[in-house]
Amino acid sequence: MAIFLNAQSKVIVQGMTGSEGTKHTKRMLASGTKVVGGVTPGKGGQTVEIDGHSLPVFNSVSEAVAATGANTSVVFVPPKFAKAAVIDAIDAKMPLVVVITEGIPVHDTAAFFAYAQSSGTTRLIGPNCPGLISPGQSNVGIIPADITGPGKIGLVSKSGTLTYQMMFELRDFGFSTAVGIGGDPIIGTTHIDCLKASKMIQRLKRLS
Amino acid sequence: MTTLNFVMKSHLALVDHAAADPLEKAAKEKDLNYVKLTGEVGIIGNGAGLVMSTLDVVAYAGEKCGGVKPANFLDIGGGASAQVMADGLSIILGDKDVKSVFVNVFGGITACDAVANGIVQALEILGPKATKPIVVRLDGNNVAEGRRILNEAAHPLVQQLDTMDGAARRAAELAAK
Repeated sequence: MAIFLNAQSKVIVQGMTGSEGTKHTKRMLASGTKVVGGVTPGKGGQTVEIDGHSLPVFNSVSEAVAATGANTSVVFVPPKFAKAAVIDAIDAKMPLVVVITEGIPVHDTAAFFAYAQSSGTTRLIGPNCPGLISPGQSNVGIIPADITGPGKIGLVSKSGTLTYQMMFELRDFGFSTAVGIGGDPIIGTTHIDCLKASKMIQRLKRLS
Repeated sequence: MTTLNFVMKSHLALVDHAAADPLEKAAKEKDLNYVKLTGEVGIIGNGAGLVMSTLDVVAYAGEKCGGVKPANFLDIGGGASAQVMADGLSIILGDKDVKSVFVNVFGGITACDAVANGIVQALEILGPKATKPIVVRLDGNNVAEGRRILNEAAHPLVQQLDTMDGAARRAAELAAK
């Protein structure tokens, strides 16, 4: 069972007009992700053409949600501006916010982590993470989509390349969802959260 | 350090450079994530998690080779350009304890052909300073082209293996000789 991300997920990219944002938006689209737009404050109203997709750019996440119905945001914003970007997404009640950025000061993460907790409406994944993929359905972040296909294994890991290595070793079985939760001292979603979301804890209790 | 540079510049003045291991100091000057360890197999990989599991498989393989252990942790991160690879190899080859080197790369966004070119160019930059056997394991993004580039270069010090475990065993054997 896929968790957090499926074929219906509508994704906006915060920082889509930056170099990393553009590169990975292209990759996400190529792997079937429903990317519906981007957010870059000050560039609202522009349109970005990526591989035949016309993606609208908005000034804020609220505007993007109102116009596109997005329910997932992925953050490719440099460390200095990442806190403001995540808080913008939380204010828009974005259900899932995936923060790829590496190098965000821990004090900034502490602030937006607490803000997300108190909002009660946003799940954070990351920061400093590769994102997550439900193969064959959707891919949000920087995980390569071609390592393996859909299957029944769920994977949760703090590491990027080690996640890829494990997906590769078990490629004959395939994965339901692989979640890279990130390696920072404060992260939005933990191993336990992923086990809870996949109902694994309940299943293990039934077995015991 | 890059994390803190824009918020805590004043703290940089407090770093005790004199107390650092000389190899770690040289690595830091090149912005490499390097930690000196006590063994004989030099390690280069991409991604901290993959490098840590590489240390484990090398230590495990080393148990059958007279207790050979990893000589260092070195994460070259994404990108892995020729210059980064050359900087990394040069630090590791400058470690007198190192008897063999294991380069373990899983290409995610980084393409294996770029890594292979990085290794070939690094060896050109290093020239006669490269003196120890280098075991390379490439997998992932564009692996076929990466392996072809290394085969074609046919550098006498470089040998390729297909799996992480197989390459760890070979590197441990070479370090035990």
